[in-house]
Amino acid sequence: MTATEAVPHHRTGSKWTLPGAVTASLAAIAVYTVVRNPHQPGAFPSCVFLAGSGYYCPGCGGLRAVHDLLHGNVIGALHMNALVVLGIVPALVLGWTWWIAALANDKVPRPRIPTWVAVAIPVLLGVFWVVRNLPGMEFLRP
Amino acid sequence: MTEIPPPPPPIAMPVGGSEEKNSLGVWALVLGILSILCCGLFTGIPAIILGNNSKKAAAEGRATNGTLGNVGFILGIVGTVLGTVGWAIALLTGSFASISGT
Repeated sequence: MTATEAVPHHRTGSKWTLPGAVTASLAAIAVYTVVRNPHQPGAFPSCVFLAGSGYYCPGCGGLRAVHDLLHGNVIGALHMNALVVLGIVPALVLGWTWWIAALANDKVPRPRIPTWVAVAIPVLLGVFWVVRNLPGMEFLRP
Repeated sequence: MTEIPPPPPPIAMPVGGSEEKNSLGVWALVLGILSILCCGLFTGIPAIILGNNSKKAAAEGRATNGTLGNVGFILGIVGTVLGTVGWAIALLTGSFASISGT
């Protein structure tokens, strides 16, 4: 790498192509999750980890939690998957909002994820994964 | 949580150290997390590819967040392997029928 000249930017499409596609996908998933009832067996594909091992994965109950949340049932959602309600959903909402805001307004700094957060999230997922499968922790399971 | 001292301000980047490809690491991390949350290989494989690209970009000085890419890469592998093995076991034992939903 000796070139000091700035690499010309070849961007295909608008800067809104990717955020538009992601936003549309998230909206479609949200609408589908509201309309279909994930509490009903067969409404969505099973969790392969649960089906294969008999243990709950950290995401099990997540769709039911999102369904309950979007129907205004916060307590029910917390019973389904507390990590998704308290961690994943707020993180997705914050990340999406920040991303769109930074694209729309140059004064907003671009989203950054500190390294310690990137390390802490998998640790948290792993702890939740183990703890929710322990005896006596039924309230953490869907 | 104990108080974590704020990370030191970013030091002036060495020549060629740019953040041009930092989005790779962020995407790898997000998709890697989703692969653990039961999306399995559908987001796990993109996380592996993007995480690998992110690590390469960091090594070439075109990204500053190779750790994010690495974490996404590992999560992608774990999610893909567990998802695939779970799928195989569930198909073999026929236990899909009795269990619903993520």
